[in-house]
Amino acid sequence: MSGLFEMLEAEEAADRFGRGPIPAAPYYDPAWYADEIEAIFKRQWLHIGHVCEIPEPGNFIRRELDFAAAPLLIVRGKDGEVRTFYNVCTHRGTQLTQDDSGKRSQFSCPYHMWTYGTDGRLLSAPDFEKFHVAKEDCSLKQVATQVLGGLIFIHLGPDPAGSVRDQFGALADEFDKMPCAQAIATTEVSYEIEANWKVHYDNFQENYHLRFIHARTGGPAIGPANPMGYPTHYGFNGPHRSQTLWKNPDPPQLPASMMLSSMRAAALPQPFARDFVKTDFKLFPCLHVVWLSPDTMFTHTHMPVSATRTRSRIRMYWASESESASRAFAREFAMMSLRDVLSEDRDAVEAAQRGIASGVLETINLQDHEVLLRHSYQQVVARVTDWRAARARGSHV
Amino acid sequence: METAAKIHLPPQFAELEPFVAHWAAADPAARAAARDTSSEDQRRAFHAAMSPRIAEVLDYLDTKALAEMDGGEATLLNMALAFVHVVLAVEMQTDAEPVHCAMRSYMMITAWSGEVWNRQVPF
Ligand code: FES
Ligand SMILES: [Fe+2]
Repeated sequence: MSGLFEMLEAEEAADRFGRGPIPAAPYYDPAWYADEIEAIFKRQWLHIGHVCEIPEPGNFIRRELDFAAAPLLIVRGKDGEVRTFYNVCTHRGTQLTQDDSGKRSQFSCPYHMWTYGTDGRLLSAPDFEKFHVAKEDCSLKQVATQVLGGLIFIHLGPDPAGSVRDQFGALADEFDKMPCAQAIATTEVSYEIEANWKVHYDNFQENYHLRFIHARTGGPAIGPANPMGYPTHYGFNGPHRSQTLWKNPDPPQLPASMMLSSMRAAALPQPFARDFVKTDFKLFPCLHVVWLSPDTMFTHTHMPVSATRTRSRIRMYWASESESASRAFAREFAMMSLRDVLSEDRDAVEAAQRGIASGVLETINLQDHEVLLRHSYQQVVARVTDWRAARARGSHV
Repeated sequence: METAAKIHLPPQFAELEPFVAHWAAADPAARAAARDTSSEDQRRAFHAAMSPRIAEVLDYLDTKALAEMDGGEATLLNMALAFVHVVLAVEMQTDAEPVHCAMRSYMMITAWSGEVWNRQVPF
């Protein structure tokens, strides 16, 4: 990963990105949050799904993005294209479907039966000649949609300046090598958390909490030479980050069945992952992409709901159906271990949010090993500041 | 439960049959629920019975394609997969399991192998 990121030790990174406290308000202030939505979430490609959810023409999935009040339908058209439409009839706005997913050759509005093709065009409407408008002008409103490594991204902005590949730069090609690029199924965990999206995402950008919050599951990542389990290096590539975990030279012996599970997984053939490289992308604004082992890759996607609430989804991507009991066993072990670890963070993150939102603190403190949080914060501030300046000039869109 | 009782495990694993009713659950959400609703004694008993046999169970099941397993073999596979959950409880969480269970309950397993369920909001 060193070629993709500039890798720095904690001290070097702090020399580069600074030291000392940062303001607390961006982590709970609703006005700041509202500007983040405009400055960031409506100006970035956002991960919203995977092509295996809509494998065949006519397959669709519904998504609700609270931060943008955007009800969306992601549809695979008859032509195989993946498109995203607002789930809003162009007659008088009725939502076309409440189904979370399904398969349709066309979408008919329940109210007055305006009917659209899988490409969003209005096909028919009763007594349409009495409307005195052109059918071509009544297509479903569309949202820019691109696929990268099988992952579906949308862009809510009126005119995306670049592609999703541009957004991830040199990292984009890596997606094509990961299991998500070939995945036919996922195992998924969904949850809501009472925390600002940054408070929550930051939790996955530092190991300072490891020995306290993950006292049991984090054991192997801690040793006498590194009692806090800090990463050895922090990586930077534009707005995106990474880290290199410390490798424990003398990890504690795993209990018997834990050991068996990890050895079974390691012994499986890996026909789909010839290019495996341990990968930990902490992408701007808040998408975590991790390739843990050849068969085990996940995304952790966060969607803001309000200044103090976030919805998150973890997905592991499987490049094949499990062909054997041992494969199914290894995958169950990978996903459930991950769920167990990530469950442990929740209470601390929500407690942090309640404390920050009390407004008692004007600043919060970051140490050198929390430099990824600082970098993340600086990326946010730069965009919100630009957006506010543009709004002051009256030149914002 | 009635149908589960009629299914017989492959004969060499017959001693595991008392665990079928609680643990042989067909998807990861149901297996996680089996962990969540079990007592510590239930987990310990299942762990003690399964630990010495799990390598043998997987070796036996690996001789079959998943799609070709009969009812008893599929049941045995579901128990092996439930064992994953119990290993995490008994060997990793140990005495923190009750607290961990409460934290875990928010992390809903919402899709697996092309099926989707439990999603409260489509986001
Ligand atoms: S609102 Fe859809 S047809 Fe009238
Ligand atoms: Fe954590």
